[in-house]
Amino acid sequence: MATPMTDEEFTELAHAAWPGLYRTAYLLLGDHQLAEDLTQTALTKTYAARRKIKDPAAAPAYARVVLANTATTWFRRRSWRNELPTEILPEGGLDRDLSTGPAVVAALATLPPRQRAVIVLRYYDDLSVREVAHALGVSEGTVKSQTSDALAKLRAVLGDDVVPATEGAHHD
Amino acid sequence: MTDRLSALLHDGADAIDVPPMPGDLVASGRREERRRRTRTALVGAVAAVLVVAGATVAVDRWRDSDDSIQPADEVAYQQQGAWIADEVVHIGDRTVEVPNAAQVVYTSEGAIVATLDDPTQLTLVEPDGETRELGHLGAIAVDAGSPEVVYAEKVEDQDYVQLQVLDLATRETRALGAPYESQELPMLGRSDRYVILNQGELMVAMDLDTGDVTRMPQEEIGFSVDWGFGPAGYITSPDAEKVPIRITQWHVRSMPDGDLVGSYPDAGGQFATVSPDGRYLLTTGETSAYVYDVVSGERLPLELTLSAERQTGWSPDGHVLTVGDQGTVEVCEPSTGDCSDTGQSAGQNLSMAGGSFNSWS
Repeated sequence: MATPMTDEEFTELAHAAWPGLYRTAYLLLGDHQLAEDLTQTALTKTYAARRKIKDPAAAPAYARVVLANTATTWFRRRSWRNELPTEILPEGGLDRDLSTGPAVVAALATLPPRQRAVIVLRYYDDLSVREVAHALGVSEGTVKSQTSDALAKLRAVLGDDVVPATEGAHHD
Repeated sequence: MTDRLSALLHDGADAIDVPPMPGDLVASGRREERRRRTRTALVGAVAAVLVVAGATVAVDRWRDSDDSIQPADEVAYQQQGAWIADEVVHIGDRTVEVPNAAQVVYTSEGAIVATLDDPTQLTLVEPDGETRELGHLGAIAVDAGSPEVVYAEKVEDQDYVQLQVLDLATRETRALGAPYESQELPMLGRSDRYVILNQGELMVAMDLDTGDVTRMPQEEIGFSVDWGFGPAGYITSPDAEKVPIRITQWHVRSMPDGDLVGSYPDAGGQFATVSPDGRYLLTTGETSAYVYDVVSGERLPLELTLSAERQTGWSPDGHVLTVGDQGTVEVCEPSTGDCSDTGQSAGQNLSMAGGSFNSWS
């Protein structure tokens, strides 16, 4: 049996992982309160599963998968299907400089939740198609098709400079 | 290339204000750990007489078969259930060593055990202590009163899965319904008559006999619930659609129509579970657990004092399993509040079984 992390080891790990996980959560959800809830939930579940994690160094990656997986569960909720309003769309829409980080984050918020998730995990967390499929509990084919659709929508909003037309489903 | 998109995403993320981490994550983690250990699914109302009658039928059938199980073993299994203490599976009055045993769920034929190393590799531990390897079934959906195990088999190279039903009593397998279009593991759980599936964004119930699909009501289904389904119903909360969820009340609803069976106050821990026979609902708080009669809504005499180490589980017939002050597993009768000591140590790593259950994760 693996020796589980001590409470002190877990707390240290959680402090280190919190900012990165929170940012991923915010990009996925577009809401600070929900992002905090999701990050806390992911770390709580990671603590509860610490006996399964044989190498403490793998715990942040485990927490990230739990975070993505929990988010997809949230997306199934009725209120999410009705599209929660996002707080990160800037006033005046997206007609300003589109080559900035905040503009890209705002454009991201216009995507359906699952497409947003594949973009965040692929291009912010730098996960492979296989890793994204595992994290979201879907097939690799689904990740590729969702990525392709999402990039097409982002290209329409942000332009070819940010999302070149050659990009598509098969980027790996 | 998407390098620019990636760089801009990182720029945007860096500009996000990150709040400080809450200070009580370890305490939350301990509650989650306890919740997982007591994880069972939930359910509607099935009269006790049905369970007793079902058990009697099962005993009669086994008595005449070649591999018959003694009635005493069957009764002990129904009343005491199964749990894993330090990799030893306790079932009724018997013990069986299963290396790396980690989780256990109930069927009418015995307890199915998954191991820590490979949760998809399943072993049936029968009430007489005999074991049978079931192979790699992956996520399964079972019911404590049924010999049937539902699992999903992926159709090679396609985004389809075919549900299969393995009858542990006859050892025969049958396909259930048509191949099911899904890129995800579709099963959420099952009751005695239905297996519950994801269909796109919706939840549907598939009849285990006919394969007919009924769309289930989507109201009140919250993500804090472990998709619990039992003999005749499932559990929801009227608070489940709030964000963030703060549950104060639980509902048990009939399957598949969603009619309200009963309403029960949360004990403070935002966790509730219904016994595998559908008679009782147990809800836990920080330090206490209370049990309600599902049909009458009456709070029953059994009241448990909890700690991080003291967890609860169910036996197939609705007894509550818990750990006594001496560190041994106790079996408690909800209607009287009486507990009896099994004399078996809970060990350092304890995992208790519950009712129907959809996933090993």
